[in-house]
Amino acid sequence: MPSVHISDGHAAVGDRPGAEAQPLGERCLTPPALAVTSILAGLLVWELVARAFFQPFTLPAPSAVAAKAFELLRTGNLLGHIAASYTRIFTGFVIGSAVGGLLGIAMGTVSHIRRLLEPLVNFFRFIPPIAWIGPVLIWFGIGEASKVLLIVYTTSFMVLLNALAGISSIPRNQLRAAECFGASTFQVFCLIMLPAAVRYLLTGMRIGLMNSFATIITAEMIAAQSGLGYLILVSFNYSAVDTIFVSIATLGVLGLVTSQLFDKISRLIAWRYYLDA
Amino acid sequence: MVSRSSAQSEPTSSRVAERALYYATVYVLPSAILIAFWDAAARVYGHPQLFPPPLSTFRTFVAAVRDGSLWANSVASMVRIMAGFSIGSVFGVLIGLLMGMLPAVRYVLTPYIDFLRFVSALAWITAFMVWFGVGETSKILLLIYATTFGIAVNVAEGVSAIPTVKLRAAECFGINRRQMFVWVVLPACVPFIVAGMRLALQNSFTAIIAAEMLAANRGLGFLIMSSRIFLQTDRTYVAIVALGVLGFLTDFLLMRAARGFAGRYQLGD
Repeated sequence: MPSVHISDGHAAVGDRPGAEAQPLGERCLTPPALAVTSILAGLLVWELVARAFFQPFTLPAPSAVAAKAFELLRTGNLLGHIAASYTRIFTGFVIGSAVGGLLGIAMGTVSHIRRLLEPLVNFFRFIPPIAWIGPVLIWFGIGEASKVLLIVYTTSFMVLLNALAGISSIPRNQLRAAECFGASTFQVFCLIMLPAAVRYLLTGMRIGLMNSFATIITAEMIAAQSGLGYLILVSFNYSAVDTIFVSIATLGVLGLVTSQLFDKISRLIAWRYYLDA
Repeated sequence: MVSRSSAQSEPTSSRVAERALYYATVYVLPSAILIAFWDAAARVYGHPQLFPPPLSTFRTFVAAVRDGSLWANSVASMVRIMAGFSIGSVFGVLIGLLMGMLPAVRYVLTPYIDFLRFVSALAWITAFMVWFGVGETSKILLLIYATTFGIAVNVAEGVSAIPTVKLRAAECFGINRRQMFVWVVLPACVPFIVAGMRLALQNSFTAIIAAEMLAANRGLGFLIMSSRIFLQTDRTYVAIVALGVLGFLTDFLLMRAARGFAGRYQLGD
């Protein structure tokens, strides 16, 4: 169930009906002052609560977390961990997208492949990628290969399912019309099926990318010597909660930036497939 | 939709046989190919302890069912998931509706939700363990976290996706705010609630496995991790398959229940 929402011309309840509507994400951007105020207020409450009721080793104040973040940035420690996690995610993401995209398109176009693979896909997609970490570590060791493989697994299913959904969403009449105009199978594939799959593919890739962030954290917690997940677990062992907070915040920022960047790039490259562009 | 239409028509015995044959070919054949491939790969690999063949995995499965360990661990995981998922769903729907209906709430919460939904629940595991210990509380809270945001975002989007025309029409008929909420907004949100819950259920499975791998003495994640440490790869397989089956079953039951309770709201697939 890929979520493709083209929300233009919709209004939110609660606003006066007739007020021009925007999707939620953009709505927040309309009054940036409010968003900033909300964040600052939250940070202030956190600071006060942390100083008044908690010890620094259970709930560090935001100022302490910021100080720790600068310290980690200065020593180059944080950047190294970010780079390690990012390299794994990126490698796995690229391979996984290619595998998932190819399989999804093959399943969408050739019904025999689809019938053969669909039950397997339906079974495996309910197994969280993390569950494979045991066998993967046994087979491929605790090196980079096992972690990249987990990311490949994470990404490929999302891309596959979405590519399949994209091709299945083509109206039958569109295919029939193409046939009436004498399009060959190859032309139908190149000119109708592939373009229909692009947008779904990109949606699947974005979801897969986000899921990869979740997978890599746990994988690095369980078996790694670098990366943000490793940093979180090591900090837990030393009960350095401020470093855990720095890692969590870094993850949030990375996820946000990566998602926005991916959206921008995909719109730049595949703008013609976006209906609302 | 398909199941409903076939249920309405008279189920003759030949139709049943036809369906049985269809499912047999469509599901059994790919599974058989997978198992044959697995067996061949295990033989080629040659280390049954590292890559056990299907038959010995099946024996381990039977043994795990007999001694009750599979059942006990599955129940432990499912109890955690159900507790966290149901509480998180309630929170998620409430927050989503509030965000959709009240601009003030939306403005205050949107920056946080937009940030936090990029931080997976798994990153919070250690922080939650510091605050709430390694017991059930931290796991259930983790699942509430994993569930709430996905549903809240979906529901808020559902509210904002209601066409203006529909709201205006309702207002023209002299509807008040409470009626607007009960008769227009809530029904329009149902497909979004169901979609959000479905995603959240899958997220809960991921989160609980990771949490149980890191700190638990029961549950399927614990089973996977402890089997890895003792190099009982076949037990890991059993746990993974159990996870797949449980994930499939809960998703199926959720969709069944959603169709039963809310089938009229065009849930889609």
